[in-house]
Amino acid sequence: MKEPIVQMDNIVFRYDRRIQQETISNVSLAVEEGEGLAIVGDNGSGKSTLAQMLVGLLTPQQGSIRILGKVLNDNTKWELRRQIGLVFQNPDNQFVGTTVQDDIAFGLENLNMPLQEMRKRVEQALEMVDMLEYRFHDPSRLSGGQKQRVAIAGILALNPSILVLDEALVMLDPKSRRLLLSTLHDLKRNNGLTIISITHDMDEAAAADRMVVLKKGRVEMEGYPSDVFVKKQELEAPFAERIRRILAQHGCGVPNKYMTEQEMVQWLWK
Amino acid sequence: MVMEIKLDKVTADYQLGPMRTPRVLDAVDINLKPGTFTAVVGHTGAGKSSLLKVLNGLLLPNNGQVMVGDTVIKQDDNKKALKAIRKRVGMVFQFPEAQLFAETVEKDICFGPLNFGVSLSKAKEIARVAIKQVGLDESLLSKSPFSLSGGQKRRVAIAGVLAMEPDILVLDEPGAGLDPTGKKEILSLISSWNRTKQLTTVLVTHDMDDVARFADDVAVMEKGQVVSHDTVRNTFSNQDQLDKWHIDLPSARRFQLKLEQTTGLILAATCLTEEELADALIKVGLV
Repeated sequence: MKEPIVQMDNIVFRYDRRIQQETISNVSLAVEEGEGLAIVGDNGSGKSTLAQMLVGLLTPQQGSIRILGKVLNDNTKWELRRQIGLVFQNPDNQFVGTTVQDDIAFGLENLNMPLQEMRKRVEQALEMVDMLEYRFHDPSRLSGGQKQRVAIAGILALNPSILVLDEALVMLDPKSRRLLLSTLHDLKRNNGLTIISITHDMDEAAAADRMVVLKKGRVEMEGYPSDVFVKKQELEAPFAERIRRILAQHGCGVPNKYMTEQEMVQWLWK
Repeated sequence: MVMEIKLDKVTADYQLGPMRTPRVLDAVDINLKPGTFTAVVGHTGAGKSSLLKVLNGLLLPNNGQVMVGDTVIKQDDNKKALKAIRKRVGMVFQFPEAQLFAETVEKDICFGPLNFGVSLSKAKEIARVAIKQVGLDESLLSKSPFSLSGGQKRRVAIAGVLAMEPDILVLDEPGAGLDPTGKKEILSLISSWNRTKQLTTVLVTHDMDDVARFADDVAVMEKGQVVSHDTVRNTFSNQDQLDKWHIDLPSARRFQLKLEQTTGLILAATCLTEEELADALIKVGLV
């Protein structure tokens, strides 16, 4: 069997070593190549901390992280960051360029890429997030959703094997979000991109291959979204599941299993 | 005091040195009645955040005028008039917690009132009221704002705005990045201030489920213009227009249309929330 592309073993992390409270306690998680994994959980459950550890911005106090078979540490993180890219929730935290295209090119310049190749990559990346017409704009003056798209393009231009999104789509309008998700899905299917998405959007989580529920720094549950949403009733659910629960409360004879919206329509029309 | 907001042919752009951006607001006319809860929706870059900024003088109109109550904001306004406006219009930006700066939550919340000339003892009293209004415990006042969780920080930042005792509250995606429970709590609080204090509320959001659940009216923006201003139910009943504006539907309405297409049945009314949809399904005998 192939080794997982990301392997976290017994990770422990505390922001303040004087305090007993662990932000991440004993988390082990494996992600397969080309997998779409959604990580959900309340604010403060440790999701963003986990994301920052994955790219070596934070170092776990115990446990190990292996990416593409290599142990992530101070010596390997520079090399591994060419393979794993993180997009933050607030895009203002990662802009450096004065125009959109300079900002995208920044990461590529650091790789000493030839100019022609760089031009091509910048254009492709902006095309993917539908922001090519804004290439000469000042990124700090774009709208929230446009900024998020540029931030994602900056990572996609680097052509990573693994993309980590930390609530990176929250300011997008629903249509742009669906469009971008389907672009990412194509990259996953055609290029084998591995996507780890931290999200509060349960419809997005429902569309992932697998989901993990974090609670107070521990993995509370993992599995197929369809299983997780039925087992964890206290979790905010995708829309069809919310309707199913309301109908069940009204005493309507709904099946006791997860349904997608399409399945729900079919069931109502049986 | 209840206050009306009137925008009359407001045009605005951002100027940065010699560079001008294209018009971010293009002849915007809109009239927001006192005490209403209006959601501003629109495609990314349609001018929603800019609309909020002209409401409290952060962005000045090149043409046209903004009236807040009996105060008028024009291009050549002096700082004094703007200060009066900013006291009345409380503005909660995207990711407002990024603006927290003081050593304690109390100092942070007191900063606004102190700047508007309130005495220290009165400001502290206001802070105690404000922190409870956002559903947090008074004991947090002595803590550092940076030791709080994301949801708590967001609430402290909003408390800082409420502490100025504004008549109008404008919010830019106040729920973005919060977990579903935290988001629901913040929006419920905003809705209750709107109802109990008659606080005129303007909310920018992409979440049509929140629009359906909390707002009275919807203003749709496209390319710097307000292209529609109507009640929530009327807005979401107008499918052809919504498609043209690239506006999404609340989940319940989207599901309703999918169901109606598949089955050929038509439910009695436009369903905006899951409860309404469930009731309609039961009534029509599908379950």
